[in-house]
Parts: sequence; structure tokens; C-alpha cells
Amino acid sequence: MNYKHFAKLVILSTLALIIGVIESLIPPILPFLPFVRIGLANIIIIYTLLILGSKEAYAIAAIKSIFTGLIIGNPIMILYSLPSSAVSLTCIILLFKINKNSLCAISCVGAVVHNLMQLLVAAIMAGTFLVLSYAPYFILIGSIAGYVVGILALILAKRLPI
Amino acid sequence: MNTSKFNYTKQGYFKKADLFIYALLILAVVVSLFFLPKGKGAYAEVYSDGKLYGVYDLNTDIELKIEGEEGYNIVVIADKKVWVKEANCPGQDCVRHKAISKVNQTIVCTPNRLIVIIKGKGDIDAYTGGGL
Repeated sequence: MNYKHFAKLVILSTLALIIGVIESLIPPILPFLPFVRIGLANIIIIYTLLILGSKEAYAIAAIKSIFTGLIIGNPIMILYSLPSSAVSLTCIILLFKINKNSLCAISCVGAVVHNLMQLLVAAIMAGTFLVLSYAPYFILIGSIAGYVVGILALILAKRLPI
Repeated sequence: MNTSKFNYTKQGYFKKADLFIYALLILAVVVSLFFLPKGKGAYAEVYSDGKLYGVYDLNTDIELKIEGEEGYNIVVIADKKVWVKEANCPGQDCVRHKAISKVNQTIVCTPNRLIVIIKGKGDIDAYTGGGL
């Protein structure tokens, strides 16, 4: 790994962290579902996947998950975020290698998988599968958020490749 | 220098196979709609630290301060609805959560390990079987 590559990784992980922290500070978009966020920091993770590769994307996803939770003082968030990011990123990379779908659709799948994983963690933590009643919202909102994130990451990678 | 193996520069915003994914997602939303809570609730079960804390009639207005091992939550029952008025958890998602009143709706405060579940009239004997 050369210095240039390392510097890119540092800049991108800092960006992902800052976006993650800022997004957790702004009030929820939907007042009745307070935990719903677009996940703008994921733009950086997908951008990293496109520009640098899968190992680097995993690294930034892990850094973002762990440190956003620590910085905003909600370490339990890490339990939700870390496994969900890992599984959803793996799905995204697999679909990308199959190369049948556009990045927007792949990102949709990634976001929905991410949300359903979080729901699964919530079900395990709460000890009840009743939280699965949030599934319709999570799938619908995940698809929209995933599309937005995917399209922004692709535009960014095409216009601003570092 | 691009170190990625992925060739994104020729990537468009749509491919035919996307339709399959979007159809699958719409199907998933429709199927999951069956999990949506329906029917008016009659009782609220409150769990703290994994144990049943109490069962409360939604017709009786009450304000409870539940002290768990990790912190406290103030749960209010009024107007046949339940909500969390105050909590000392870091996320505050439980406080922002809208009031719940339908069967199987939940409010979960993960940091303080508090769960509120709405049960219907017929379900009231269900919790003796263990539930959680």
C-alpha cells in the first residue's frame, strides 16, 4: 500500500464518519419512525467500493460503524450497524461481480438487506419477533434510500474520481 | 490511479435485470404488509431487563417510572395509547416514537432494555405461558 492510497483511505473514512455523525444529529425525517435515516454515509462506502475496491470498502464500513456509535455516545448502535453493514456490503459486492444489474438496483438491495439485518438484531435484542411488524416500512424506505445513495455514489465516482 | 477491479465508468443507471429486483422489492413490501399491526389493543405489557414488569389496562390512565439496570424510562398510558415521555438513554428513539395503541405494536428502548408491547383482549392470558 503506497502513501497515496493510504491518504485516500484516511480522507474517505473521515468523510464517512463526519457524514454519519451529522446525520445522527439532524432530527428524524419521519417523526413516527425515529430511527429511519437515509444513510448518506453509505455514499462514501459505495464510492470507495467503486474507486478503491472491496477490501477498502469493508474497512471504511467498519470504521464508520464503530466510530459513529462511539462519537455520538450510543455504543449499542454498533451492534446494529456493524453486522448489517458487513452483510449488506457482501451482497452488494456479489451482485456487482455477477454484473447483471445497475448500481442503483444493487444499492437498493444492499439497503433493504441492511435494514432487515438491523430488524433481526432488534428482534434478537428485544427477544420478540413482534418488531418484524416494521418490515414493510423498512423495505420501502430502504429501497428509496438505497436508490438515492446508489445514484449519488455513481455520479460522484464518474465526476470526481480521486 | 484506480485500484478497483470494478469497471463503473460504463455503468448506466438502469439495466433490464433491474426490473426483476424492483418487482421483488415491491412483492416484499406487499407480503410484509400482512405483518402490520391491526386491531385495537386492550393491554400494554411492559418488559424491563428481559423480565415482565407489569401488565396495564389501556383504559386506565397511568404514569410509570421504570428503573432498569441501565437507566430509567417514564411510560405514560392515556387516551388508550402508550408512549415514552422521558428516558435517560443516549438515542432517545423511544421518546420520539409515536404513541402506540394497536395489537402487537411495540416500543423498544435498546440501551435501557425496555420493551412495551400492546396486546389484544384475547391475548391477556398469553403472557402466563412465558411470552418472551
